[in-house]
Amino acid sequence: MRATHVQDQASYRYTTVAIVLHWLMALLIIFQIYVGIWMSGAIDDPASQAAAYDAFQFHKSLGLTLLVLAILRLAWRLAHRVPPEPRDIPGWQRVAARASHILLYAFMVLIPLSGWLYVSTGWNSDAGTAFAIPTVWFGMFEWPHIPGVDGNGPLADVALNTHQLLAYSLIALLFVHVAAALKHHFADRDRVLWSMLPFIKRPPHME
Amino acid sequence: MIHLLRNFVAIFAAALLALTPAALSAQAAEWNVDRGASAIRFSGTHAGREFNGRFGQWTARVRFDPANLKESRIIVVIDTSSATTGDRVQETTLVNPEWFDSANHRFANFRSTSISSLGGNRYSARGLLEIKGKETPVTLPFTLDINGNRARGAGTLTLDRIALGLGTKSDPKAQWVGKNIELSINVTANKG
Repeated sequence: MRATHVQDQASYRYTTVAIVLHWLMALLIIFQIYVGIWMSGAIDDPASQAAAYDAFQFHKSLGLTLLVLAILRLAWRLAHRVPPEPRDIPGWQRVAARASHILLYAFMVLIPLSGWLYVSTGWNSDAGTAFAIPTVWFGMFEWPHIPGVDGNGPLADVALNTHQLLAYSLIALLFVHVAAALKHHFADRDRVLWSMLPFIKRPPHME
Repeated sequence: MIHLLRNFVAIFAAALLALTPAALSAQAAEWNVDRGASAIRFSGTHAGREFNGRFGQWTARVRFDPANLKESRIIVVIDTSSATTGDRVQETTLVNPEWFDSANHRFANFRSTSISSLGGNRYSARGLLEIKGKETPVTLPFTLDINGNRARGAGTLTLDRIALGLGTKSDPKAQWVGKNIELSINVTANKG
């Protein structure tokens, strides 16, 4: 009886791999968004052009790293069960949670993919000119570009617009995600946040 | 592969043509370049910063006699795929089609057509610089100090990369990579 209880408690937590990937990616994604917004403006200012150029190279390297991490994470998610939702959650919240999680995964894959597609075109959509710069992963090795799109200006425009639109959508969704986690922890006082952040004090409502 | 072969043949033919008249008439001394004590470097600006690079692979044939400049010749062949700057993004860019296009035009070369004295140890070599199959007339001013059988030569040349057809699609207005590229050549050679 006691053993079953402990097992239940454990299954309320995400796996260690899922927890590590979640928080690591959370930090990297927030930093990536910050760098992405900053560099887009700073690249046009001669005073910050050099730093913005470096930021672009960094943003590309981190973005591709995040793409790999997102794929690993999605594979892990599909291969492992997640903690069941607390019993008394209303139906609409279950749907909303499910939908937002699917969207978060979609954004984590599509945002770096659209960025990779954009740089693969070797096109500067803001200037409307060719702009072929290779992608070298953190200055160490050349990351291949997607073949067959070199010099495709219209595709570059679509890729860049998609990249930016999805990134801003992700920012909005992150606010919802964080707000929902805080609501579960502080208002509902259930185990939703604890299941992803097990170092905090165990909440009163564990069932 | 064909391109590479064609390059080799062109350079070999050029070398033969340059040296044959010298062989027939009064010869200017042949100098063997000491590669370890010589370097071909380039510098410019990129994204608001200076870059400094060098070519790791190149060869030179030098026939030079201060008393017989008419028969003096300089030929330099540079492997464009050997350019290094210490920045992988720059190095990867340089071999790309719109820059050196090293896959199709592995070698660039300079062939002097006439060398004249500017007085003292100063000389001027006029010649053709061939990059990506396109020849551009250039003048390379240089100093040469001969000490017995050993000679030191040094020259710098400012090149307009746009005129040479380098990076003309991505950065034709030189907003990123400066228009002027300074090429500096430092050669130590032994009389052969």
